[in-house]
Formats: sequence, C-alpha cells, structure tokens
Amino acid sequence: MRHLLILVMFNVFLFSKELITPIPLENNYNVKKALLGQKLFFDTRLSYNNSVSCASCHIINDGGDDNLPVSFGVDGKTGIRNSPTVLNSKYNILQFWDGSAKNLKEQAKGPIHNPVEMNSNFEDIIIKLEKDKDYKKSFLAIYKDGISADNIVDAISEFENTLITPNSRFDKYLRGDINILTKDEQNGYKLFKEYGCISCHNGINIGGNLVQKIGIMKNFDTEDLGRFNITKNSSDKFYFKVPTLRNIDLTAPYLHNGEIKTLKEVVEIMIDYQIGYELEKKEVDNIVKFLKTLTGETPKKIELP
Amino acid sequence: MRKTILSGFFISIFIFVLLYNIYEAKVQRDNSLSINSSIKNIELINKDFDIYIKNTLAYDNFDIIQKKIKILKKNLEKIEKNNIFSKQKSTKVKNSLNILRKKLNNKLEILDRVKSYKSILNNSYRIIQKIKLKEISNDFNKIYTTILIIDKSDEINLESEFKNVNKMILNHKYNNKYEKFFLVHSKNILNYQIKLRKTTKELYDLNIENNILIFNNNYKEYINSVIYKAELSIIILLILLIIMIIFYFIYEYKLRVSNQELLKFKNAVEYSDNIVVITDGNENIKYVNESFVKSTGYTKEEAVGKKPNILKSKELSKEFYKNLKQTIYGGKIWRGEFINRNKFDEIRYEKASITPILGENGDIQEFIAMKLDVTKDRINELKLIENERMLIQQSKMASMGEMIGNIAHQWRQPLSIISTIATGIQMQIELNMPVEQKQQIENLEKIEETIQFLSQTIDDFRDFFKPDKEKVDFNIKDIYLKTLKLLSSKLDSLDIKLIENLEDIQIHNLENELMQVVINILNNARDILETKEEQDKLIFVNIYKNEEFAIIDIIDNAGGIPEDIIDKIFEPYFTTKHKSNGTGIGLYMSHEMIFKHMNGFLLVENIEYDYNSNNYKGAKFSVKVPLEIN
Repeated sequence: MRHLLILVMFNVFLFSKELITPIPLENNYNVKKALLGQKLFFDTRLSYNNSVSCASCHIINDGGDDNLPVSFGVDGKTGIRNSPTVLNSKYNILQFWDGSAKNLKEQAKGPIHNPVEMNSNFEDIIIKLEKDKDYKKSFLAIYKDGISADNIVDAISEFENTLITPNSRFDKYLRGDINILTKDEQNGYKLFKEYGCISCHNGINIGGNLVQKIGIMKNFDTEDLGRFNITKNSSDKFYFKVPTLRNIDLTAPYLHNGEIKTLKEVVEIMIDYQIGYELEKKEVDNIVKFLKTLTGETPKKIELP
Repeated sequence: MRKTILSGFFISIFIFVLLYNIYEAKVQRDNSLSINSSIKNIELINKDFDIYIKNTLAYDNFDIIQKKIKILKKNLEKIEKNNIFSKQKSTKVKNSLNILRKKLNNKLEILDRVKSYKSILNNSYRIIQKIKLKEISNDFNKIYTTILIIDKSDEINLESEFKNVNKMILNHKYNNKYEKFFLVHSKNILNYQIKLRKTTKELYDLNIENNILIFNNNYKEYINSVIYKAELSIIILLILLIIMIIFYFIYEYKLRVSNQELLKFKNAVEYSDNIVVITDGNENIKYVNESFVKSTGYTKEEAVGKKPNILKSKELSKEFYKNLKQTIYGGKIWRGEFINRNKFDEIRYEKASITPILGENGDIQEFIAMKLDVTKDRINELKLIENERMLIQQSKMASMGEMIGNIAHQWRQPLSIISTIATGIQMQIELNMPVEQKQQIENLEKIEETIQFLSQTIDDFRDFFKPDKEKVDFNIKDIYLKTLKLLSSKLDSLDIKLIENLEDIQIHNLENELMQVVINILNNARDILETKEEQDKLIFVNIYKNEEFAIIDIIDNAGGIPEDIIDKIFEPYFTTKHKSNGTGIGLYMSHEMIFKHMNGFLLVENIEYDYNSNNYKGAKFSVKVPLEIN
C-alpha cells in the first residue's frame, strides 16, 4: 500500500508538465509606445522635484534593480522594501512585494505617488510634460487624447514589456542544450526540484505567480506584515509575492527588505524557513550554481523596424 | 400617385422592420451561441480548478493556472459585455450572472490560498518521503500512513491527529535530527490539510456548478422567450406584409380599372357633342374638347392658357356677365345661354352650365363649363317664328280678302240705300217733282244713318286688323256678337239660320285673336253650308262655361268632316277647298292661337243631333279659353 502510494506520487512527479518554461525569443510590442515609455522611464520629471526617475531604482543593464537594501527616493528618503527587478516583470502575475498591483500599469502609478519614492502626481507631471514639445508630439502621434495619466502608464508599461532577458544558459538547457549546464548546475536544478523550491518558484518567471508566507516552518523575524497590509485579512500576515529568480545573481541584496546580502545566504534561509530541512553544503552550492545560470541577456535596445 | 408612393413607402418600412427583426433574431441566436460556449468554458475551467484543488500531491506550473483564470475572466467578460445584458431587462438573468461572478471571484481568491497551501503541502510531503528513507523510529509509521491517505479518506480526524503529533513533538525522544524534521513536517502537513479541508468545504459550499446551472437555465429561458418573440413578430410581420402586398395588388387592380373608367369618361368628354371647357381658378383654360374646337374654330393649343372671354360677343349685357360671375364665384352652378362669337366671327348660341370645383378649404380650383351649341336650334326657332309671323300675316291677308268680301257685302245694302235715295232725289229734280222738305230731311237722315253704319263697319274691321298686343278683359258674348256683325250680311244672304244660346262670360285674353278664330270657324261653317243647297242651313252657337273654361261651341249641320281627314284639319296648308278659296292655314292658325297664345284648346268632332224633330249630322268646334284671369 505504502509503496503503491509512493509509486503514484512518483509518477505524478515524473509526468507533470515542465514547471519552468524559457523566455520566448520573440517579443512583440508597439515600438513607438515603447520608445515613448523608455523616455518616460528615464525622465526625472516624473518625480516632484525632478530628481528621481524610474531608472534611478531600476538599473536596466544591471539586473533591473539598484542593488541597495532599500532605494533612495526624492530628498534621499527611503522606504522599507527592496526594489524588485523591472526585468521580466511583464511575466509576473502580481506586482510589488505585497502583490497589490495586478499589472504593470497599476504598478507604475505606485512609485509616482509614493511620498518616499517620486512623491508626485499626474496633474503636476502632465503640466511638466505638456511644456515639452517633443512629448506633446509623440503622445499625440500615438494617443488621440495626448498626454494623460493613462497614456503615461500605458507607454511606460509598454517599455517594460520590452525588458526581457532571454537566452539564459538555463533557458538554453530547457530548449534541449543539456550540456550547456555543468553537472553541478544540473544537479542544482535537480535539487531545486527535489526539495520543492520549484513548488513556489515555477512558471516562465520562476516565481512571480504566487503569494506565499515567509516563514512556513519557522517564524521569520520581520516587522513587515506583507499582504496583510493590503487585505487586512489575518490569514494574509507575512504573505509576500514569491519573487522571480531570473537574474537572481544580479539582484542582491535579497528578500523583501533587502537584508540578505548573498545568494548563498538567501538559499540557506529559504531551506531553513521555507523548506524546513538541512542540506549538505555541496547541495547548497549546486543550487546556487544553478541559480546563477538564470542570468539572461540584457534587454535589447528598442529599434525602429 | 401619392397613394402608390405612400403604400410603397409603407411596404418598404415593413420589409425593413422585417429584415431588422430577422437580423435581431440572428444576432440573438449568435449571442446565445457565444454565451453558450462561454458558459461551457467557464464550466470546464471550474471543473479543472476542482480537480486541481483535490489533487494535492502534484507540482504545478502556476502560469497554467493563471492562463486558465485569464480565460475564465475573459469568458465572464464576454458574457457580461454581450449586448443581451446591456439591452434587456431580464433582471433574473442578470442577477444570476452577478451571483455567479461574485462566487467565481470568491473561488479565485480561494484558489490563491490553495496554491500556497498546496505548495507548502507538496514540500512537506516530499521532505517527509525523503526522511522516511533515513533511519527513523517505527513509531512514525502510523502517522506516515495517515498522512499519505488523508487525500483519499475524509474520515480521518485531522484535529486529533494534529494534537497527537504535537504531543509527540513534545514527548518524543529524538534519535536524530531527521526524526525532528519528520514530526515537524507531519505537523505542518496536518496543519495545512486542516486549512485545505476548510477551504475545500468553503468551495463545496460555494456550489458554483449549481450557479452555472441556474444562470444557464435563466439565460436559456430568457433567450427562448426572446427568440419566440422574435419568431412570432417575424411571422406576424410576414403575414402583415403579405396582406399589405395583397391589398396593394387589389388597389393597383382597382386603380387600373378606375383608370380605364376614367379613360372612358375622358373619351366621352373628349368626343361629346357638348363643348367642355375646364379652366383653373383664374379662368385660364386648361382643357377643351373636340366639340369646342369644332364649334369655336380655336385649336386646343390656341385655347389653352387663354381666358374664355375670347369667345365673348357684344350681344349680351354687362349684367348678364356680372350675374354669371357672381354665381360661379359664389360657388354655385350657373346655367344659362351664351351668345358667343367664334374665331370666324360667327355668332354661336350655347346653352351652358358652369360648375365651380371647390378645393378642400373651399377655394375655387377649377371651373368646368359644359355647353351645347344650340345655334342651329336657335336659327330654326327664329325661322319658325318668322314663318309663324308670315302665316299669321297670310291668314290675316286671307281674312282680309274675306273681310273685304264681307265689307262689300255689308256695304252693298247701305250703298244701294244711299244710291236709291240719291237716285230718287235726282229723279225728283229731273222730273221737277215737288220736293217735300220733310221727305228730304228724312232722306238725308237716312243717308246719314247709312253712312254712320258704313263708318261703323269700317271701324269694326279696322279693330279686327289691329294686332293684339296684350291680353285685355272682355266679354266673350260681346266679341261673338261683334264678330257676327262683320259676318251677318253674308250669312243672311246665304239664308243661314243661327241658333244661339249665349251667356255673358268675362275673360282676360287676346280679344282680336279670339275674334279671328270665331270668324275662321264661322266662315268654314258658312263655306260648307253654302255647298248644301237643298237643306236647312243651321249654325248653333253656344257660349257657356264650366269650372275652368269659357267655351264657345259652333255646330253646323253640314254632315260633318270626313273621318279620314278630321285628324289633319289643324295641320298647316291642309285644305279641302279649292286653291283659290282656301289657304289651308285658317284652322292651323286658329289652333295655334288658341293653344299657344291663349292657353286654351280648340277641339273638333262630328256629332249627330236632333233639332225641331229633324236629325242632323255636323261638325262641332269647341273653343275653350281659360276662365282664370292671369
């Protein structure tokens, strides 16, 4: 009976679909919008004192974040959460650490209004952008109603749609180039699956599609109650969006508050708090090695067709 | 024409409405198909989720779940956006859809929780299996089995098992770290299984299948009623359309028939002997028919656009035209006779009626003049009048001849008296006979008396020849006696005996004409009696009256008028006499005068009667003149 059950489970495991899918090589987007979004993404006029742009905290060529525990907003203000990477963010089904935005458009509105980030509002931004003839022209070329809040976030999100990092070594492995990963790295992937990391970190973005509790097997010491702040539902306490593991090697420091500095440390913490087990050092090393294969190509420059 | 356009317009509207209805029905059907497929999809995905939730022990790619959620939401949106829901008022369907949407959203929230529970459970199951391969206490076997069959057995009391494991964690003497991991994970599994079970119960209570069913039923009920209505309205419209088309054809047929009728009328008008002229309200000629062209000499082209006064002659007074205009502009029909002048300056007599045609608001829109060219009749009439005048003249002349005979006859005796006296006186003078003065005065008185008589006779005849100008009051008896005076000498000479029975009767009529009639009848009687030499010659004259008429009966005893000519004696130029004696107009004129001028009757019959023990046959002429003084 027991063996039969194990056999059933094993089979389920074997025949389950591929849990991680590679980033597609083709990416379709509206070039004009994306170019406009790019301009906006780098434009400090989106902040109240023209000091901070989206790109201030999301450095595209370096993992899509700022490698700080928490970012500096206008007037050097800081928040409580680590800025997540903007890369591949289009594949997340939820945005922000607490999953409070359902898509990139909603997300873009957050930092603009956040007092410790850009501390601005669309009325002011639109007034500033209206003064810029180029902006006016570009907006009108795309949108009938010209510069508006919706159109600003639409353009930005379209730019963010271009920010994908395909062709990581692991993606190539998934596409069949098995030898591109070293044995250790392949073993790391095996362990990643065996110990159930994959049960939360799956899908195309290897995360970003689930809200999960931090500290399942052990209480995690943090003041941030996560999703509870949004839902006020006590069962949502300490629930955070599971972050993507793509380009994880580039996006240190880790966790929602950015308090973990190295990949090895964060893997150990995850195994301790989330998996509730003890791994051999070599196993941890292999997993870390595997995670490093998730670094993809930096996003291509947008080019007019 | 207007009706044709109107009915065509209505039929097009009907066809349009019909097509619209068919289109609507098709849209409804397409809508129902699309909604049906959406419902099917929602149903399938809902089942997928149920399977996913039940199947605890499998890794999942949450992206796939997310895709399914997206499809579910899309299908839901598709249903909501369907114009059936924007248009219709079926709150029942809307309500069931709202409930379904709320429950589905509820389910998706639960699904999120289940996702996190399941990944946790997955891990712990995996770890616990790994640990089971290590060296751990056999005390855990029971827990291990229990944990593995939780999914398949609802009877396991998870709470008590959870308490057990908790106790073990506190009381167990751990041989190695794996035993600790084992218990912790067992506890974790039980903990999350409890949560999962609660959630599953929540899901079970949601009973979404039922809501899908309710929505589906409500929707189908609604769509069936809509389709039924659409079909019904299409059938009704079709029937109406067919009826309209039938009516249209009937109308067209009738129109054609009435057009033919109209054409007949038009032809009748066009080729009528009557002149027909139609003008507009301003008297401009719009139409004339053939007879107009024939009668006036103007062609249609010449006449149209002109006014009818082109035909005006100077024969009629201004008052005549004034009266005409007043009548027709007063909206009344005018009837009368025109004396017009045609293109060739010929006078035409036209008996006419002019009818004004009034519009809906009482304006005069047209005049229709119907005229009959009566020129020939009028000319004939004039000729007849002339003839009659001539006849009267002739008869008078004839009478005059007669009268002169009479005068001569009348005068013979007085003249011979005068002659005798004159001769006597001459002889007395030649013979130197003593002339007694008394004798002379007597003679002169006699001459004077005789001359008076002659003068009187001449006066009487002159009166007779005076034409009657107007009716006067007179006594029939006097007239008879006066007449007799003119004729008496001749009658006496022929030894004709008059037997008279005369009443005094006053009438108002033409005196001389009556005299002439009586003269004619008496002359005729005398003439016929003159031929009867060897018998008594009798003329009976009775003057009397009945309720209406004064009657003069003149009866002779000459044997009567032959039956074969008695009907013809009042015809003109009919005579039995020798040409030198009779003109044949005496009795005709008498009849005409009595009948036409005096409103009376002149009758004739043959009668047989007894007088002084003798039986006689003769003609009886009755002159009946109305008593009433008009």
